[in-house]
Order: sequence, then C-alpha cells, then structure tokens
Amino acid sequence: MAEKDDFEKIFTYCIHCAALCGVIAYMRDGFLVKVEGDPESLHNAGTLCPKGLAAKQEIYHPDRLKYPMKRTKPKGENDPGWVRITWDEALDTIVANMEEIKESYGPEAFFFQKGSTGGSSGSEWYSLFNRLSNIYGSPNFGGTAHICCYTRSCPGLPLTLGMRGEQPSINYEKTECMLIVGFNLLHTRPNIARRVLDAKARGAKLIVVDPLLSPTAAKADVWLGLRPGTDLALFLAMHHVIVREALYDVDFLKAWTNAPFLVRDDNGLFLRGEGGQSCLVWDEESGSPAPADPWLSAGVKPALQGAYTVNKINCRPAWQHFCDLVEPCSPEWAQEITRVPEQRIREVTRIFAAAKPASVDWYNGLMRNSNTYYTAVALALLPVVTGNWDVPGGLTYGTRTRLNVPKSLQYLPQDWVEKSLVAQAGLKVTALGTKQVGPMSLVAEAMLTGKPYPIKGMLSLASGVGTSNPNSKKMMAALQQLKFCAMGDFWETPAMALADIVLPCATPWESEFVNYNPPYLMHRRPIVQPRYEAWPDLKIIFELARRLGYGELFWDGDMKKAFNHMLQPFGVTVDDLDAQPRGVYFNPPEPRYRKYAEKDEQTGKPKGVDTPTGRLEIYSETLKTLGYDPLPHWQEPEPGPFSTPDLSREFPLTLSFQPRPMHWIHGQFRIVPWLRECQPEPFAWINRRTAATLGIHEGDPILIETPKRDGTLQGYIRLKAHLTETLHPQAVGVPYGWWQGCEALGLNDCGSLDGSANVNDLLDDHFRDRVSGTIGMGSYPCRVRKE
Amino acid sequence: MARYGLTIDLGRCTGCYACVVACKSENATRPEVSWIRIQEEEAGEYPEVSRRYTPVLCMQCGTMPCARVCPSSAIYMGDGGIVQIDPDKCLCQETCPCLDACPFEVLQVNRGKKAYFPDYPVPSDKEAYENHRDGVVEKCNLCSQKISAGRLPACVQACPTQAMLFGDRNDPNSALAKAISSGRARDLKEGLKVNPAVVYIED
Repeated sequence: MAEKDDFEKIFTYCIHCAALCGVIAYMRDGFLVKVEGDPESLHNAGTLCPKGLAAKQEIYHPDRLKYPMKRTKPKGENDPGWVRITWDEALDTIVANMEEIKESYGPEAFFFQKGSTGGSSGSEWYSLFNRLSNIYGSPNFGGTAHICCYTRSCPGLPLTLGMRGEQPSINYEKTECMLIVGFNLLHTRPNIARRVLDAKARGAKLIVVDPLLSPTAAKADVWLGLRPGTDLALFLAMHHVIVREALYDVDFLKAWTNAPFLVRDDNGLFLRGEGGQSCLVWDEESGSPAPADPWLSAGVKPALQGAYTVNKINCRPAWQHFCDLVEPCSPEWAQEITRVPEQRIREVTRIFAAAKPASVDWYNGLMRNSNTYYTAVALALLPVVTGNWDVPGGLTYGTRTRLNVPKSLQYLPQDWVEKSLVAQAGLKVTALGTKQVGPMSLVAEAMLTGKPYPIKGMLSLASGVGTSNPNSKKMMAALQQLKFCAMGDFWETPAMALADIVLPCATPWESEFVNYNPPYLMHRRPIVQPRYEAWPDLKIIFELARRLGYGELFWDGDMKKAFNHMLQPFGVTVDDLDAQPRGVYFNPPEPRYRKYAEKDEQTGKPKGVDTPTGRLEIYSETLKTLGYDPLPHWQEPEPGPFSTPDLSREFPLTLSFQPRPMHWIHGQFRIVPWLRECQPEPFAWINRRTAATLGIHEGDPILIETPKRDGTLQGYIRLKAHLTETLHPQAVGVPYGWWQGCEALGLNDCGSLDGSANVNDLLDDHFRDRVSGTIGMGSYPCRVRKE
Repeated sequence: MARYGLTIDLGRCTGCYACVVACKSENATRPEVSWIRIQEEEAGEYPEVSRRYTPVLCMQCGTMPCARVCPSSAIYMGDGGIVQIDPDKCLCQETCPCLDACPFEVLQVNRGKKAYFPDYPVPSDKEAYENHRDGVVEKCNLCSQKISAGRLPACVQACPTQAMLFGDRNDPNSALAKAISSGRARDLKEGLKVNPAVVYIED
C-alpha cells in the first residue's frame, strides 16, 4: 500500500539548534501527522535530527504548561498552590512589579534572564528580550554564554582576533586539517557533520581534543584524550614545536600580526615613537627602530627576535616574548600535565603545521575552566602563526549579510559599563563590549547578599535556571529571596517552585520568526496555533512592552512589522517570503578572504582587523593594561588535582562532562518520549579499571559527591555506572541537563538538588576565570561510590 | 525484478538516533518497540580505544530464517524482495519462534502500552497506533509504503550524515549496486549465508 498523499504540507524550518533545517510538516485536518526534512532544501537535503523529527510529541505533549498561573502559598512550601489566572492578570502583575522595583531599587535591580538559545527558539527572540531590558533600563541581562560560547563567538576573542560576536566559519571543501576541541560537532552541527566527513573521506585530517571519546572523537584520525582542563598546556606545547621546528609563517607574522612590535622590558607595554602614537618595530635593514601605524613603510624588515635598546629603553619584539613563553613548554613538559604522550603531540603538531590550509574550531567543552580564556587564545593563535588565518579552509569569520538585529544597543544604559554586575565583579574584558554575558553566580550573589546591590525581581524565559548553572542549591536559595519572579517555559521546571507567576510558552513549531540561513531568507511558519493558552515568547515580550509604555518601540505589537524591519537589509518583506515555500533564495556574496589586506577606501591602507592594534595580536597590551596577562601563560585549572590538592585528597577523581548528544539541547526534551527512548537514563562513564577498584559493575546505581571550596560536601547526585575505556582512569564522565521525568515511559522528575541527577548540584561556583567569568567546573574533584 | 536494499557506511554513522526517531515517526510503532536500533561497541584500552556505531534493522534476508519457523506461514517475501509479515496470519501470541530464528534480533512482538499519549491528542494517531495489534510480530519493511510512492525509507532520508544508501540491488546502474560491488560491503554477520539485502561498509 502506497503512502497516502492527502496531506496538506506546511514548509517551515526547525529552530532547535543553529542548523535551521528546512522542514515539511505533513498535516491532516489541521493536525500535524509528521514532520520530515525538506528533500529540496540545500541545507539539509531531506535529513533531520531526532529533535526536529520529534516535533509532534513536543507540540501535543499532555504535560505542557497550559495556562498562566500564580502562586497562593508562601515561597518555600512544597506546594506553591498554583491557581489558574488570565493572561491579563499575569501580565499586569508582572508589569506592576517591574515598575515598583524600578521605582524602589532602580532598574538594575531587575534581572532579565534567558536560557540556551536552542530549543525554545530563543536564538531568534532573545534580541527583542534584550531590547526590552535595555529600554527598561537594566544593565543586567544574561544567560549562559560564560559557560557555553564566550571565547568562540559571544563575544569571541576581540583582543586577539578582532572578531566581535561573529561565528568562526570554515570552508570544509578546502581544508586539509580540522583540529576540533571540546566540540561534539558531528552531533551538534548536523549539516556541517556531512561536510566534515566528506572532507575526511577525501583525505583531510580530523584531530579531536576531548577528555572523553565523544562521537566526534570516535571518527577522528587522531584523538587526544587529555586530562580535563589541560588543553592550554597542549596548545602551548604545539606552539613550542612550531617555534622550535620553524613551522611558523614568518611573512604573515611580520605583515599582519603584532609579533614584530617592540615590548618594553620595564613595563610590558609597546614601545612607541615620538608623540606616543605609532608602535615601533626594529628594522633589521637600517638597524634602527621604525614606526608601525600599524603598517610598515616599504623596505622595513622588522625583527621578530632579539633584544634591542632604543633611547636607553630595553625592549624585545612581541614574538620574542611569545617564544620565551613557549620555550619551556616542551611536549615532554606537556605530557606530564596533559597525559598525552609527547610523541603524539609532536606528530599532531607536524600534521597541523604541514597541512595547508588547516583550521581549528572549538565550543563549550573549552568553556568550563578557570583557564578558559587563555586556552582559547592559545588555540586561536595556532592558525594565526601558521598563516591559516582568513584563508579558504583556514580559520575565518563570516561576513554574511545579517538581519537587522533589533537589540537596541542605542538604549543600552549608558552607565552599564560601570553599573552592571559584570563590571562590578571586575570582568573588565567583558565590560569592554556590549555583550551582557555575566555569570549567573553574580546574580545569585546579588539576590542573596544585596551586594554590590540587590537584585529584587526577575523575568526568566526558556531557562531552567534551577538546573542550568553551576551551584543549583545557591541559585534556588537566591530565588527564594526575590521580591518578584516570573518564569515562562513549555514545562514546569524545578525553579518554578519559587516563581510568583508562571507563563506557558508556545513551542517553536507554534510560533513564527524570520531568519537568513544562506541561501534562504526564510519565514518560520507556525505549523499549528499555540495549544492550550500558550503564547509565543515574542508575543509575551511585545505585550509586556506595550503595557510598560514602550509599545511604539516594539512596532505597536505588530510582529509582521517587526519582521519586515529585520528583513530590511535584504529589501524584502514577509509577504515576499510567503510567496514561496522555502522563502526567498538570496545568494550570499562570495565569501571574502584575506579581508585584513583589503584597502580602506579613505586611507588607502589595509583594513587590518578590529583589534586594539589593527593587527592580529600575539601579545595583548590591552590585557596587560587591564591587569591581566598579555600572553597565554599556563595555569592549572581550578579546582583540580594540582591547583587544589587539599580537595583532591578526599575527592580523588575528576569530573568531566559528556558531550551533548544530538537528541538533546542541554537540559531540554527529556520529557519527549521518542527522544527519551534514545537515552532513558543518565549514566556516568567510569573507566573499567577504576570501577574494578571501587567494586562497581555496569548499570550499578552510584553516588557522585563533590566538595565545596572549603572541603565540606557541596552535593551528591545519583546516576548509574557505565563502564568504559573511553576516558582516563582518573576521570568520571557525567551527563548534564538531567532533571526531568517522562511519564509516558514511567520515569519521574528527579529534581535539581541532592540525590537528583542534576550535575550542577555538584559544582561550587567559587572558582572563576578572571577574564571571562567562566566557572571552573571542567576539572572538578569528585568521588564515586556504589549506592 | 527489483530487490531493494541498503548499504550502511559505518564510517559515517555517528550513532545520533535520527534513524530511530524517523522510524518511530513514520511507522507509529508502540512505546518500547523499535524496528531499528543502534549498537555501540567499544574496543581497546584507554587511550588506544575506538567506538563503533552500527544501526541494526531487518536485513531482508533472501533465505528468510524467520519465515522458515513460522507455524502459520505469516512471513513472506513481498514486492521488491521485502520480507513482510501478514498480521492476520500471525497467531502465536506468546511463543513466536521467529524471534529466536532471526540472527539479528530485530523482530518484536507488540505488547504493553499501545501509545505514548493514550488520549490521542492527534486524532489520526488512534488508527495509526491501533494498527499495531497486540501480540503481533512486527519489523522493518523498508517503509514499503514510502517506496511505492517513490520516496526513500524514513531512516535513509533522515540520516544527518547520509550514511545509508537505498536502492535496487538488481539494477546494476544503481548507486547501491555500485557501492555493493566496490568490494567494501559486507554482511553484518558474515558466514551466516542468509543473503541479506542490507549490507555494511566498513570504516
């Protein structure tokens, strides 16, 4: 019997991750029967991942939040006594509290919180949520960037590479080597996964750095299963080999990086010429200093190495400093730290340096340690020193045409740089930019202690704040202190037990937006109207704005007008997109490479990059000025067996995080039965030899316990044991994002605190990267016992 | 005559479960029943260790070991060489010798909960789930309903890394026939001589 073809088809796209796969919804009598990938889509060619394929069970799930509710019992009681209310009452209550808190404590006392941008479609509406927080006047808006994408794209590495929020982009058809770090790309970037495997099939090398053998590492030519949190030592040793074996690109370093800039021995700042404007290099041709503005005059041959004296000031080129930095970092040295055999480090470095072009990419596995910032700097400098920057197949950044992002930086409070919790906590690099990406622990502290000033109210959308950030107990205690808290989501989350108002949000399949994923400008058409009384997050934001008196700045609540505003750079409207199933085919301009060498029309000089010096920065004077290290010196991750040996005596194993599988976005979707059947229960990975000494067998229930900074117990969680050889005997691989049950399969919620499966209960938030604010958690001491 | 089959490239399978969920979505199989599963195997000791993912589904064996033991002749070779089970003739209920006769353990009996959401919030789900009758043995039929409509099996279409190739083994010009004759394809369990239509390409 052939498939019935009496379906109505709705063309839309999936927003559960950044891939934006084209989807066809097969409808009958107004109900969704199934979704499939759109076979004609140039992105996904009919393919679709489990999350997208499970759309039906997400939309029609009987356990969704159905109505706005308010609590009727005091916070702290087990039962909040939820009572159904109207949207009018819910929104009026939120607005009244927002206004009262602003009046009594100032706008900074109200925190706007969003979760992961995946799953909920938050990647689309969050800029409008940020517009709301900016217009309201609060400098405190945030999410999870510091433990997710800080050094990659949000804000990225503006001081080293000059990129500001752009995503790295790699031409997989051209690359000869892919060095992938802490990034389960084959699962988390489904449409790129095909291209990586195609590249590998034609002979490009895939090198994966990850403490655990992730599905991506399992496909690698070389897997470096290093000790958690020691990636920086590995990269420094790679630089050591590159310097020792002269595998660096001398011409590129001289022309486009600040490697030849002279650094004063006395203060670590660049030596400057008369007037203090131009930095100086040492011209080997004339045997005298020469200005770099930042480009050199014809004929100047800048020295990269050596020591020079200019006007009685001793100085050395930045590259000499870098060479001095990596000189002691031999592969033998790194072997001691990382446990990667020195021969393997040499081999990988030679593969990487010989491959032209070679690329690197990284993600949240690298955003979990107190040394996160400099780890990313050292990694990003690998393609820079080998001349693989901004070439086809090397590391580059997209210059694609973008939608008008309606974030409204013009309304960003002028004093945010001083007033935000980020700035008050001394995160000076973050405060240089406009990305409001402070750690949630700062918010929790402000709620608990009133320092540096109180946070009294919070509106949180699509964020399991009780489970999604380190130190869940502290966060839950902090939420209890709030004067007012409203939360919106699809499901009831553990943190909602401490909310005053709960809002039912529409799934992405029931809401709409516009997006550009080259070559398509697409309209995300809703498949069905929101079920029950759910509202799209965007509608909540628009309606709150209207009631707060900002309606005009939100297109008077007219979403279509807002979408047309976003589409303006392309000269099309939503109606144009709706005229065709896949939206408007909008070919991106040919990717440009070597953009740094393009001539600026006004000055006639090369454009350079958007760093403080205009050159790629091997040595960061700005970091030095802000009180940080100008170079990526090795530092042990904190906590860890060597940085906090006192903790490791009683907690001798090291937590490491399992890679995110394709069927989850972080803490979401455990409740969706088709997805839950892929992985019904959370298992911890334990090396077989370690398990044997602990008397633990496959499937045994186990307890994992961790310390606070002071050595007392931080928390314990319950998981089952999976015995494996895919990690070091001293590491324990924990899955994150587990709290939710799945009644259809007879599985209960486990909560967020002690005894649950929520790994964030295990993490003290005391340890923090001084630059990015990343919480040190990727090398956390723990102990395991059979329950 | 056509004989439909697959190659599955184990070098491209990342164990992502898209095939599993696509199958559930297309075929509305019951909770805890899956016509395709992912087998994970690990070899070696840290750090010289590897992991392999193998999707396992009905191999559409030419010799049909399952059919040979069926007391009521419910299992037959249908169009395109696809092994089919006639639910009206599948009568064992409890004993089901076909389950043990299958070397790949891919046959399952419908038991337990009929559907994930018993209130059927999507009305057409009621019929779809109730089609999978209690006590009847079921398995993958390469989405024959889709093949006859000229479309790909759900798992093949969904696979994010395009590890699965569908086609007619008997058409020497098909990409499938070419992939099979490349010499890299092998049976999942070599030596069984069951003449499977689903074969694997080694990493």
